[in-house]
Amino acid sequence: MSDKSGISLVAEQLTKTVSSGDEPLTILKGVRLQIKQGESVAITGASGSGKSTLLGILAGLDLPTSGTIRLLERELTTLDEDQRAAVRAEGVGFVFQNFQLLPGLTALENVMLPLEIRVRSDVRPEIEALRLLTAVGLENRVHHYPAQLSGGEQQRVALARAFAGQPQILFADEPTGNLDRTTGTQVEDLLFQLNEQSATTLVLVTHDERLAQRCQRRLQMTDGVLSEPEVQ
Amino acid sequence: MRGRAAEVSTLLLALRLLRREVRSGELTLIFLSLVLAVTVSAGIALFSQRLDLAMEANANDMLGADLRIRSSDPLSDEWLDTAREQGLNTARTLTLQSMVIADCEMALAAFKAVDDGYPLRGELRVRGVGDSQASLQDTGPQPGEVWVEGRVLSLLRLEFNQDTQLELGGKPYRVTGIIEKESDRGGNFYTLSPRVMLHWSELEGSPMLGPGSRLAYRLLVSGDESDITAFRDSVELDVNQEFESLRDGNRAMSESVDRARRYLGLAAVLAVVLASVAVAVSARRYSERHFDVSALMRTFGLSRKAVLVVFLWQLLCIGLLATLFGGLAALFLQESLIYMLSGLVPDGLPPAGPFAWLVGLSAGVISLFGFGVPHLLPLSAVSPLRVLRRDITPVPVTGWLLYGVALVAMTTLLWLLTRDALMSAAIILGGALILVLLMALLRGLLSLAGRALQNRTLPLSLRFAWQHLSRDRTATAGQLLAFALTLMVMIVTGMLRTDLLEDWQQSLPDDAPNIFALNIQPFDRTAFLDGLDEQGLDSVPLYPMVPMRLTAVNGTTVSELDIAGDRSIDRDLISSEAGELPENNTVTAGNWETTHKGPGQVSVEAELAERLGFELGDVLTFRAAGVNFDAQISSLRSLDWTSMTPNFYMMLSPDLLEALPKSYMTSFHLPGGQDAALNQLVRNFPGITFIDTRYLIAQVNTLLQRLILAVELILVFVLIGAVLVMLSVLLTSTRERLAEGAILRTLGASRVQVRRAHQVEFILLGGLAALLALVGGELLVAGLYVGVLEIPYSSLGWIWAWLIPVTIIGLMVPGSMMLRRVTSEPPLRILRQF
Repeated sequence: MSDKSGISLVAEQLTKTVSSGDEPLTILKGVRLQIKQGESVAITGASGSGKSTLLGILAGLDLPTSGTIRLLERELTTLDEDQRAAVRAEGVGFVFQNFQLLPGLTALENVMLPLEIRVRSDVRPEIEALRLLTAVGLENRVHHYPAQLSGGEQQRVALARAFAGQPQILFADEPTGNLDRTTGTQVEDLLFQLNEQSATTLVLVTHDERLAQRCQRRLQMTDGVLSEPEVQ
Repeated sequence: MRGRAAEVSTLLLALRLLRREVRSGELTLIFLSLVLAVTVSAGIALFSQRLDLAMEANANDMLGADLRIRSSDPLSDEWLDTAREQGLNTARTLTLQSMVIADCEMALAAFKAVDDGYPLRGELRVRGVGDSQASLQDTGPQPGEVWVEGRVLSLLRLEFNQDTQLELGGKPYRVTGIIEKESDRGGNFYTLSPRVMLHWSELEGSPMLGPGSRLAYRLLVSGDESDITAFRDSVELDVNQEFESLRDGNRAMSESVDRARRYLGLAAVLAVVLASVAVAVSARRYSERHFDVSALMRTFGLSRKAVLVVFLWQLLCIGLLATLFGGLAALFLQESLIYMLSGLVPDGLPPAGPFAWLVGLSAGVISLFGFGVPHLLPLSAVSPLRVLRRDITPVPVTGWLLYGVALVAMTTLLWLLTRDALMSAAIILGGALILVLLMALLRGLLSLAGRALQNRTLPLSLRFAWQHLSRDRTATAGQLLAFALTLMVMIVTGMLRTDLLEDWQQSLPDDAPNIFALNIQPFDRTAFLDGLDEQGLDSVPLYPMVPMRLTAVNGTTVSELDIAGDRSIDRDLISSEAGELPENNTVTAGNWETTHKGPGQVSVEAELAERLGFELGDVLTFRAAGVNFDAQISSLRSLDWTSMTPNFYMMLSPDLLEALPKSYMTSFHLPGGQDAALNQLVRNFPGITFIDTRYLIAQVNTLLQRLILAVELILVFVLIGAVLVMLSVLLTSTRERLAEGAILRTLGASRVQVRRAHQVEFILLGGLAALLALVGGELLVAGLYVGVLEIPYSSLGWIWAWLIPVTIIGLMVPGSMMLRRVTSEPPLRILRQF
């Protein structure tokens, strides 16, 4: 599904301005970015630098004020919300800082949800979800509700859910932000391991330098401007 | 194809999610509220329609004819001949109330003499001696024989066999049949005496037919519709004669059943309103709790429409399931109502048709779409960006849309339940007015409370609770309004129940007269009074009575006046002589002496005068015994109808009654155990009609008890509705209270402090809501009583004393249970769920 040239995501001159009180506030200032298929990219920056806003726009969850984004060969800025949703359904996965598991659903049901929404005749949601939960080491916790799981376990469920349906590209927003160092490392290991196995493009936003260093590329967000430091 | 596949998959997804939602209990309150709405509305719709069907489908059977003429004078032979000449079948009946005796026992019975043509229409089923089952009859009893209702025998303590005999009008009769069904009996709430049927010839010349007896002669006619119409056109009725429709024949029953039905309908409306409010509150909470789910589904690639459809499918499934359960419960409800009202409603009601089912069952879906679905609309507008920023919430649906749709749904429900556009409009307008009034009151109360609670010296828990309530004033106002409205509905239905029942069920002193003696002929007066003396019985004075009809007012015939349709116009008004002013009568206008002295004066009962618009000085024309005469109104009297002494609408100056044939009436108290004395009187004076009201009062009380049960059954549903509203409102804020309680605990507050803060909050909520309900309830009751029901205003009284504490406890108990986790679980575990 990626570009023939092997490009997953291209963003050109992205700006995002929101009205904050009387003054308009520019969060993104002419962001340009190109990510290849299978690449792992970390976007780092201080709190409030605009990195989460950028992630939301790159994933098609929000639109920029100006600029263009080409995600999985589709120009997102020309699409309406429902068309962008269709793009997400075809090949985008997410991992969130606060896990975003539905409290009323068991671990298994949470992982099944995107599979049930995307409906593919060759995939049986329950079997696929079980496989993924086993892959993240939660085969004994499939019928537990989120409240009955530890933070690390919850994020592992979220990882399993993110990889359900074999997305082309995975967006992760501070995936270990809510976890302690040891658990965070375990989740990171899992994330990169699954990423490698499925050759998924990974775009993650973090302020954790250590996590960022595990990615192939690191981008720095400073006050709405994205820059790529020289690789050392 | 792709479109259909997508729809199918949306449905499948909705069903899968629904299974999980049901398990998580998110939809329980909506489901229960819908079940309640369907149960009550379908129960009442089925009950009403079965009653209507019984009345209408068998109208002619119940009338016993295609056309019926009623007269208080003997029927003209001319009509009989005309009808027969026109090829119509005819029958004559004569009904009256009198005593029936067997040995030492006696009972008041409803006599019906029938000629050989009876019955014409409908069924007369009678069981003979030795028969195990009743058989259909094509004639009435033969001369010398009587057929009776089973109750007659049990009242007289008789067995039914070859030798069973009873005595009426001084003559013995053999009982040859037990009447099991008489379709033109016309069940009557107020005349509950059991039937005694005899041959027409038996009453001719009988002393029971004295001039003062309330006789009803009826000519029954059946045949082709065109012949019936021709006959109807050819008949000219006198003032004391009328064509009877089924409604007239069963007026007393229809009125009492109608009243019960109206009350049940109103109570049902309130239950459905409460259920709908609970649906709205729960749906709103459901919607808000699913913003995250919606955002996730959008992130996973579901379109806006698909997200909405998924939720709508879920709600629709819940609605259909609730309709199924509610429908089943409605079956039980209507059967229970019919069982409780047996004796008031006809036996063997036909099953309800599909329309009643449709109307009744639609309540769930209407309530769901009117009150629930609008709250779901924001779910389709949740931005997927919410997965990254929890603070992004969809634009709420405008109030106009929410209230507009709810108003349309409410009006539809009201109309379906009451079938009365005027009443529906009145309820909606009244409801809106009360709502506005309550809002204004609420604003005042909140600002008063705010000022009172600003004092920093007040305990922390009180200040904290108030800060919590006043932080989101809209939400607090919503909660208070929901609680207050619910309480108000409860207060008003409860008050109405008590006051209506008191209106129906008047208590009497133990020594109140319980036997009426009517039809005492002038030549019997002295002997009768002596007879009473001999038996040691005291009576109120003997009043002369003359049945007369009002024919004109100030020279204009009543048929040309607005009052022509009044129930006092087409019937005999039992009138008496203005001698001494009877006890229990109070002159409210004019002068009794003027009426008493005459000549040509009349005193009119005050309520009747007001209803018919009579004033002092008006000239009324009456017709009695074929004579017309005028009387001028010179006084108005108010009566105590419950005194069980003779009461008269009209009392005329003695000169007017002088020339008219009259009989006398009186009433006396028969102490318990002195039945033999009455027995002797009945034997000695066969021409006098004794009306033993003891059995009647007992019967009326039995029926009232049943009515109370039926009304209370519906009240239980109103109560369930109220509980559902309370629970759904409490649940709405539980999540927030849990989180805040947990934060307080992490900040070092003790369990007792947290618990107390919650308790104080419930005390404030309950107290304010109850206060609001009391003020609103007082206004509503005053408006209803004085404006609509025309019964004297009575204050809420003791309700003021207990409603506030009861409401506080009612909120605190379930509220504390919902919040138990704050103090029973580690705060971190609670916080992690938010």
